[in-house]
Amino acid sequence: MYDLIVIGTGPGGYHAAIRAAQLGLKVAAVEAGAVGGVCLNVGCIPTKALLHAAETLEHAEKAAEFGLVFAEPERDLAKMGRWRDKIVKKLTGGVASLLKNNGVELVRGFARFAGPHELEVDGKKLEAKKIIIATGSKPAVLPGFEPDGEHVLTSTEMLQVERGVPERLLVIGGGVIGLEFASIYARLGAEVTIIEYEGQILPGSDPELVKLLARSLKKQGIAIKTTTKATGYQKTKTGLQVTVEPAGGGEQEVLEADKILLAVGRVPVTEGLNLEAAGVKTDARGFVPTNEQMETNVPGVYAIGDVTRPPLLAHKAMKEGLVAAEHAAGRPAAFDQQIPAVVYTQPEFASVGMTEAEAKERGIEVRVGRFPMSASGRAMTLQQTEGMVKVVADAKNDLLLGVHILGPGASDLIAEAALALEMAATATDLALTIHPHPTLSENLMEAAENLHGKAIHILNRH
Amino acid sequence: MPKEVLLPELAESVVEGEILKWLVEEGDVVAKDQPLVEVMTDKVTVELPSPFAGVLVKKLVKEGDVVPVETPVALIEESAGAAAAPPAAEEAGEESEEDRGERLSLFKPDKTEAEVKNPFAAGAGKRAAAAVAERPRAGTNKYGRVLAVPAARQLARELGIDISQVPGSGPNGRVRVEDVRAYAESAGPAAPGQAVPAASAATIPTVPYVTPAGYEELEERVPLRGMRRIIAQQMVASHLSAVRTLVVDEADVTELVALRRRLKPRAEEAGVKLSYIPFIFKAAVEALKKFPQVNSSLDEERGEIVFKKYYHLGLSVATEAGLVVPVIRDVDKKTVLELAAEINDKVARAREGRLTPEEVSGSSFSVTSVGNLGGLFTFPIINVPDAAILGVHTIQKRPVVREDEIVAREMLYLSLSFDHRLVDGAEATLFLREVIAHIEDPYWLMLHAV
Repeated sequence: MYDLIVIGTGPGGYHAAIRAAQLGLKVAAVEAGAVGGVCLNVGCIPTKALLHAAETLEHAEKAAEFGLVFAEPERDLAKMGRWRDKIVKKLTGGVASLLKNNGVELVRGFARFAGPHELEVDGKKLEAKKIIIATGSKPAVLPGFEPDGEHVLTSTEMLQVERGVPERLLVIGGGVIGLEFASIYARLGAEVTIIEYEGQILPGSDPELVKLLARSLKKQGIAIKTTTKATGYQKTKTGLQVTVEPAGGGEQEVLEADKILLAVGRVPVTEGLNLEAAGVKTDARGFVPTNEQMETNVPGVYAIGDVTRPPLLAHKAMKEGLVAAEHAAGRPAAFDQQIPAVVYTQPEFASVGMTEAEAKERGIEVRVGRFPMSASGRAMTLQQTEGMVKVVADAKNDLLLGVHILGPGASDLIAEAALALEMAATATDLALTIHPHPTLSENLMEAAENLHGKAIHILNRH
Repeated sequence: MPKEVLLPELAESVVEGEILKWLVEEGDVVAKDQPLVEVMTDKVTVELPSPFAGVLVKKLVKEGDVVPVETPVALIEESAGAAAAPPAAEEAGEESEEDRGERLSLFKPDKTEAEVKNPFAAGAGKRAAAAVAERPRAGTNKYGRVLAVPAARQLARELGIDISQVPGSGPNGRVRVEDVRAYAESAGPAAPGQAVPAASAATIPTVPYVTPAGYEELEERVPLRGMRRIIAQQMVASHLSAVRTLVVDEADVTELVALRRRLKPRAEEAGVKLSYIPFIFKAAVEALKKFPQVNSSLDEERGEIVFKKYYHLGLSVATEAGLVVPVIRDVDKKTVLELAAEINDKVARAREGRLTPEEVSGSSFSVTSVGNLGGLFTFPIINVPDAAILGVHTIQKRPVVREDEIVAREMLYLSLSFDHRLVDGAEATLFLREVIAHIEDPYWLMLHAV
């Protein structure tokens, strides 16, 4: 009899298992696939490895501007793949040893509920006082574009960069995954086209910054078709012919491609779990709803991470895992934080809190501060002057509502904004905090100053 | 867009009210000032008038809910004809203070007056008002979340406190760690005029009730609601906060009986029914002047004893709905006749449930008269934060020894229930003797007549 069993060892699962063990529980973690889940094996980490590799190509090219000219790089994609695997292996091995050294028993196999406190793992019965479902998500499928491993590929297959860089890549879906792969392959030499059903890529994100990002991606040779849907494809002698049409219907267009990346989102994984045996309910989209303590409708059964609700982000899953573990151990805990989001395009896009539009929807009168990367000394020295910092605050009381960053270092800069939001800081707090010079972080301060018409390095127009 | 109707600040230092009864249904058309809902606070019930005409779209609170002031209780869609502001202004996103919800004004306490007469009460009122103004409302605020730093959220969870109930002292009402600590501490003993907050109730172990097997049918269960709930809370607060101690003595009130009998027709000519209570009030005030600690309160938050130089006497009245304590202010400045008239009026209105919140708060000492019901004497519960309460019992002829003779005299038992933290036993005994001396020789009161 375990105190806690965690199903899945992705970011959410291993955080939950380790925290529960730290709190003195007897914990088992069940893993049907690779330890570390999607994030470590086929998600966050390997994509970042490839993005870095691809970016290096660009840096080398751009170095000519300051007088460093490199020879045309040799591309050993197999080696790139091995390097990626080495990082993955090191991290997953690290997670496995962390689980072990914290006293978490790793059970290999596929877990199936036999009751609210009972699991069957490949025929073997495991009992636990509490169970955490951390089974994650898998790529969603678009009818007519069922992944076949040859023409229509998922993100997992696209990571296998050693399979070669297609000449023409069509990406269906302009979300985070689509954009990151588009960036990798465009830099590796593919001619990339992104098809997005909604009116903009990264639907829901600040439209002003998304427009700048789209412009930048186009400059990198990535074609973007928004308000467009893909309806089907045909194999021809020279590749694939993909039929697309306006999202609302209309004239069809045929696009040529060699490979199709299907990146239309992800769906929760609950299949085969036999949730019915525990009485755990799912919603219409298949997610497992929970309360703030991450408890499902069945007391003692928790769900965390992608299987619960969007956004499907590793850091959300990690926090949820900690909350569930602490609650399961009888500690007070709740998930009530703001969730920052990052897209590793070039330039990076990161945001936390409300967009201008969301704030207005809530009836808040907003004030916005902006600061363009082109005015940042540090950005110039990095040869990355595309983008902008945008700060949204309540016009009445200056309360910071959201921060949106497009530009170099956005993924790291957003953490300061997240802290500011958690501390219920005002734009003035951000503006009055000394930021070191020359850094990219100064741009946050300047955007907050601009909100009050007081930025130094730009003319403050409102 | 429907407007919110907020629970008004019902009186100074009143921080919450219990929703007793809805007087209109969702979908009903309501006129401006039409009563919407009955709310009870500190033993009085008030009807909230609708701040505007329109249609009640939604009730946001249920009967039996205890909600803090400034909580939205209903949504009303203003009728076109009655709309004060042009709708265009709202669409433009202009949000004035009024748009965020209508603040009802039932009571407009005159702060200046309160400060002159009762600096203690005025201070408490200000504190409560400040807390209310800064109180973030979970779920109902426009940001969708309470403004609180992460460490404060965590501490609140650890202490079992609803963070949305904690008044924030930071910018924009941000809740800080110190605010949660302060709230947790204040949730201990009952603060003046406040019912026991739920948070502290949670820390008191409850006594489990189990129905004896086979007797389920012979029990009737009634929800603990309204007055009974408030009485229960006040009694627990009193019981837990004060170190209650008792002294009992007897008074020979033969002279007082004769005096009252003589003055009764005179009072009746003035249209006032004269009871013994005004005389006892007067006697109590004289004794309170001599023993100021009996007229004191403990401000635990500040670690100070508050000595009051005013004499506001509460009088416990048994009503059908339960115990009510109307307060007669400035007893030292009123004549016996004036007191009689005021007491009669307040007792009558207490029985009808028509007292305002101010009329049942701010006592410095209380008297409970259980004379007519029998019983030799009682051990009254102190009306905290008062330091003591005087129990007045049946006046009846009893044999007593006077100059070695057994004679029949009109006798009265008096019990003084006092908070031993503030009043010593000897003082309590001497205080009671002082009261008795004035009651036994009511003509002495003449010397202090106003």
